[in-house]
Amino acid sequence: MPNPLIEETHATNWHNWHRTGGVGGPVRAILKPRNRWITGPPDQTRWFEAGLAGLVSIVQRVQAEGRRVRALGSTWSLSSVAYVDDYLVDTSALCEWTLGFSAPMVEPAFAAERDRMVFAQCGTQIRTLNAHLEQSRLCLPTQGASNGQTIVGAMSTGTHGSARDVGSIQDYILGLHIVGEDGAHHWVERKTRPAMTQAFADWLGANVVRNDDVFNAAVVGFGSFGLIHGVVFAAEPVFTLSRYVRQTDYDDVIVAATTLDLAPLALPVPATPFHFEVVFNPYRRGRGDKGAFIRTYYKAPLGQNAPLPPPSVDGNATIRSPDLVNVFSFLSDAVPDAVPGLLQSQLEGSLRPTGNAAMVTGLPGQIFDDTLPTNGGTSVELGVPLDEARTTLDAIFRVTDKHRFGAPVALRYLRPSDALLAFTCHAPTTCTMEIPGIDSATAHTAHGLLYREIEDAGVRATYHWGQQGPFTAQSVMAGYGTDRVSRWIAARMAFLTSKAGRHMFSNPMLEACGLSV
Amino acid sequence: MSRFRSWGSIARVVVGASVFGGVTGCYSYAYQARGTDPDLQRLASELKPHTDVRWSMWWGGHQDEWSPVECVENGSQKCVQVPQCDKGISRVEVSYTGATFIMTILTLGIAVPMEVKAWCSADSGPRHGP
Repeated sequence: MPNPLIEETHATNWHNWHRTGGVGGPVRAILKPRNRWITGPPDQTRWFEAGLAGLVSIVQRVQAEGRRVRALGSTWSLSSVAYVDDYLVDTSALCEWTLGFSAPMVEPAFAAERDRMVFAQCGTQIRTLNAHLEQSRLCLPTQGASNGQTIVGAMSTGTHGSARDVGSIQDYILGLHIVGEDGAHHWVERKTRPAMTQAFADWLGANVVRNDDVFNAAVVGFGSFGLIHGVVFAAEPVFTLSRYVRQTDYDDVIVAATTLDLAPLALPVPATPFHFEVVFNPYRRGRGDKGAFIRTYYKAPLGQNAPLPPPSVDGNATIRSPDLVNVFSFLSDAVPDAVPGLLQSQLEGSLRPTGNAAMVTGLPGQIFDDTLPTNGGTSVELGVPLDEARTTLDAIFRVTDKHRFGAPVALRYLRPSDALLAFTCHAPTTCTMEIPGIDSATAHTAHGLLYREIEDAGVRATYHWGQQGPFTAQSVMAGYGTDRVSRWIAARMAFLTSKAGRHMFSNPMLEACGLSV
Repeated sequence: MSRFRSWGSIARVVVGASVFGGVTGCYSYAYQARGTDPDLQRLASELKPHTDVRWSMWWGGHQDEWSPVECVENGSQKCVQVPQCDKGISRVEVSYTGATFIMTILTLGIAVPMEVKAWCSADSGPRHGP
């Protein structure tokens, strides 16, 4: 076999895309495998072989050196979940994917879906899938609020929107191709819902692992099970989303936001929206303050012959300097009294209430579109059972009332994930609360206060792995419970059988969470 | 005494000019390609750009084209040439360096450094599955 092409950058520094303070640091080397041999491109029928051989070779080298390795997606995470100071794998060049499978490759239960099933390499970005799937009149079942994550990075950290019935990205993944210890690679899927046949595993050259707990642990495994080469999922027939945004008062929406009883809101469409979301300005909760925003998306199938909606991007798009975020950061530290007004104006500008005007309709790829690095952005996001949402929200507001920092609170709703350590695991509905902001000294202090206040409130809070959180063994156990945590650890021990193998795919954050056993 | 004052003024001017000149190293210009219909979103890029400092010479009278290939060791072969990108370029950024301003002054514009960053595209249409 020829040598795979791997680009190496030695003794360098790594930071995340948003350049969040405290995320990243020095690394021994960043390794970037490409889909080609040193001597040329691979055979077109086995186009993935060089990239896969690159991942295998990296694992074997790291193992021989007794070091640790983590894979990078688009590095959008606002926590140190991807960071280790030994080797990082830049997966961005592994961005090939296939659409459709022949009948022998899929289990009979998936025969009806095989024409819209995708095998995507780890570095394939959401924006790539959106654009090309839509040309084939298909869509991702759901995604996050933007499009630059890689499919595996987004899945591994539990990225979500607010598609309550669909769940998060990991909830539509059917199988994982993982390079584990010794460089052995495995096709991992559920035993109770297998999607691919032995023929598919043979095409990859992979061992088959059919085990519900291993799949449900690895699918939100944040890089701790090995280097994921690719995933399989089924796309959906193309649909549109129509956006309706109402600006209102806190009192008018708080009950709906914490119970999901939407009837009193008298939304313009009687059907339950595909996506329901509420955003609060914590400093504008009085009557007449208009500090609450309801955002809904209604899903509708696009007829077989209906034209795709045209793009609506600004043809001469220029961007504001991300450094303006730092100005906001400075203001929030230096002039805290300016925070409520600045936040209100920022929310009105970004959420753009539609009022009674016609809803804005587009494809998911047009709705959840580009964002830019914030150059110092940060965020905390937690998940709680819906019936604990009010208690949690009150705890958050106790902190924002005492401590002003430029942070809105966005509530979204999801069905519980089967993934053992998905932060959206709470039944029957997880309410997620995201508190984004800027990485200032004030925000750091506020985050610490938030963790304590939420813990004191006694709610079962789980924290988004790709955002800031307390991330201690105690907080993980309190949020997920002993059963989920011990099953995750047991599944990882079953998949990575040696202590050295588990150490190789661990990092300081995993250790702090008590998961690196 | 007045000599010290004038030396002090000169020092302040030099420091001020250096600071303002150095800050011009933050100036940059970027081109970002867009992806395909129907979204026209920004084209997916690889994480890390290929970067080089290029020199503009003789007030633009000397053409400088940067069209690199990589040289990779393969066993006994010291240099196998490979393309830097498999799918073309999606983003280019040109910026002043910390030395651009001072070199422009010192050489009267004869030799001016600029930094070029090029990101490989990570966009790819679907292949047929097996």
